[in-house]
Amino acid sequence: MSLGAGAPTSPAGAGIRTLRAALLGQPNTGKTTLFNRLCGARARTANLPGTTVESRVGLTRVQGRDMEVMDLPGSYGLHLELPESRLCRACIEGRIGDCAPDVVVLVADATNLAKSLRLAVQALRRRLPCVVAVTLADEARRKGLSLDAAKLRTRLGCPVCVTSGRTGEGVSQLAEQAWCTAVEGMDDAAFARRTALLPDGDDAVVAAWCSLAVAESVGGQRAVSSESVSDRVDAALTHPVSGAAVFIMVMAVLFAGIFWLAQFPMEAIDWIFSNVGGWLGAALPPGPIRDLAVEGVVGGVAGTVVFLPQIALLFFMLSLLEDSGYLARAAFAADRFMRRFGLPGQAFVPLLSSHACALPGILSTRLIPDPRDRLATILVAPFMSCTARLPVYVLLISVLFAGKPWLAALAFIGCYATGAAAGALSALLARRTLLRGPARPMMLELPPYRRPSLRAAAWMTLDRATLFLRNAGTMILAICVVMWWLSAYPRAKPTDEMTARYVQAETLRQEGTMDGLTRAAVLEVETDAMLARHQQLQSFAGRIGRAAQPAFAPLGFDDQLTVATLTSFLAREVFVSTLAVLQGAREEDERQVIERIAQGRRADGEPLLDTPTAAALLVFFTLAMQCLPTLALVRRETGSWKWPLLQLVWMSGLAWGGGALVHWILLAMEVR
Amino acid sequence: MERPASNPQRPRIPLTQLARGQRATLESGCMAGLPEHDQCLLRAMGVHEHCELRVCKPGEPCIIQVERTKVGLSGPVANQLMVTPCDGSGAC
Repeated sequence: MSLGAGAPTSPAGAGIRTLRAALLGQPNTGKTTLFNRLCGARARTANLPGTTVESRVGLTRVQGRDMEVMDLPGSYGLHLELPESRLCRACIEGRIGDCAPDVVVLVADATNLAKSLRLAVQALRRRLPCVVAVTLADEARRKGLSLDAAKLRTRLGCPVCVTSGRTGEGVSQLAEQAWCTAVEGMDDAAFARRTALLPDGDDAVVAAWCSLAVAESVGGQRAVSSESVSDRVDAALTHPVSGAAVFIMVMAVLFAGIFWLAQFPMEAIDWIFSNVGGWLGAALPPGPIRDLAVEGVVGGVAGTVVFLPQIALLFFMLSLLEDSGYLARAAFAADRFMRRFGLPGQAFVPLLSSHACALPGILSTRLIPDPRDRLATILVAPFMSCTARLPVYVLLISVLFAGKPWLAALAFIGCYATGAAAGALSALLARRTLLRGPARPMMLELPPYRRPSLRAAAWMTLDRATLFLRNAGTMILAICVVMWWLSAYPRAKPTDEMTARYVQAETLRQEGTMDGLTRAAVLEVETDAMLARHQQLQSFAGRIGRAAQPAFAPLGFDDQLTVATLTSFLAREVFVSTLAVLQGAREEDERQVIERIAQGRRADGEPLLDTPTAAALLVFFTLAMQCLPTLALVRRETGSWKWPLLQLVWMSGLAWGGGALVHWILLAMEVR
Repeated sequence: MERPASNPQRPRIPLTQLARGQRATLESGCMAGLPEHDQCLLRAMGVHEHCELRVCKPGEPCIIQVERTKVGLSGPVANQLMVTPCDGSGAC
């Protein structure tokens, strides 16, 4: 599905190409629910041509033909100097690539029509075929409001359709109307007639005109309602004490729910990839192609895709919270705290998303209005403990607190808290130096409390999951292949000792006795592990690791830990698998791998992970920027290498310093 | 389109000084203390000159209602918004 080709709005071309409709509306008007109802599964998230701004694009079927539908970001006005307003303006003016729409569907909330109409008036003043879609009709009826669409049509000079994205009411009629309006186009006379009906003046004049239009066409409208239950709920949810308590409780339930629910699909994904790897390993002849397919492609992608359930669940729950109206209140609850560190309340959702994965978190900073606020949020987002850090946390905390579940749980919380604290302090430092100035004070519409739509949340989750898988299938796959090549080449030949062991195993096998066969099998497994370890240390990655080891000596790292740390720069979760290979773990389950690494030895026979080193590693991984895809995304979002490089140097420096300090303190306390 | 005339007798006070449930109007120049882009955004959200508002929650954040829209404002913004309170009878 493309954004289409061809010249901007041209009714004459309607018969030969796919017509394009753009949904334009203010936030919280039910625009995305309407889009989901129009396009359903035939939608995907795509960057608008020539921009890094995402928009959802889909196809809807009208009169036996496809019509392309774009869900533009919610905007309060086309004249505002905000990212979403600039984008909507550029899009409907045909200044972005070739995406000028043939018809603009102006989405207006039936329960708050006067406000929605202000944006509609701005669009109607432009020479564009327009249709007004009055959404949330079901909710308006429940509130006792009635709409006379014919009167509104007369007032606005354009077709009006009454719809409900939630129930599907009027949606097919809207699609038909949009199609007809696009085909008709807009001639001079029609535009002049429409313009003559519209108000001409400042915001107050337009607001008064919209209120009058609503008074004529809507029954049951009141200017300002009296105190309601929602006022009391708002007061509780934004209160410094009760608001913070509810916020902590919601977040605790959210994360506990995500981690508990995600474990089942994660196990299933792990099982599927293990079987695919096994099947490929058996089907392909031994050699570099098999190694690339099994270890590079399947192994690498599995390591990323296994986190999909956590990411999908996080987005599903965030969508439900946003739809319910809670997230806007939570942003205010967070704002009071976050502003002390120079971050706006709007940074709360991106930072929350970064706990699943920094990539979607950074993408969601796009709607933070102030560029400096946005940059500060992008810079600190990778400090949040993402799911890729979990395998490393599990390994190191198991080593540090074996048999002490309460201390292990506290250490987990400590890792999350350390990451968040480092992010907050880094933001504070950035706002006092590079991005001088306080965060922009928040002004946010508080949408009415609504029962969240499971359907909308499901579509949103599907969309985000698809985007994540697309990344896993492209950028992350490429990184995995490069990483595999660095750790697999040049091929190391077995040492004389290994060759002798293989010969000995073969001799034992030829004896044909049960004891001989058993000893041969054990000998071969041990020698395979030795060869894998030898290969890892002789590879390009291993050589780089050995050269870099002196730099990591203050943290207590030996060659093996340095190699594992450097390979995990490409993706954190690789740390455990690299260390497992270096310790000779072969086809063992997670518990056995952790046990083997915990009992691992260095070349000099000392424990691989003594307490000071394990603690230093834990601090290092909590703070370090070990994620190449994140750096690539920050480069794209900031348009410069300056910020990702600064982020890399700052986070790595902090991680190294923190790790070295912890190592030194524990050594000084003679903790071993 | 006629605008409601401002009442010179009633004093202008910062929005933060209104109590819960109190009503007020925004007069011309009421947003002068705010940066231009914040003024534009507030107007686009429905908080414009000559509108009537009700305080749903005073303090931080200050939550106001204009027509059917509720808007949350952080303290620095609410403090810069000058309003004319309606009198005890509710007339603005």
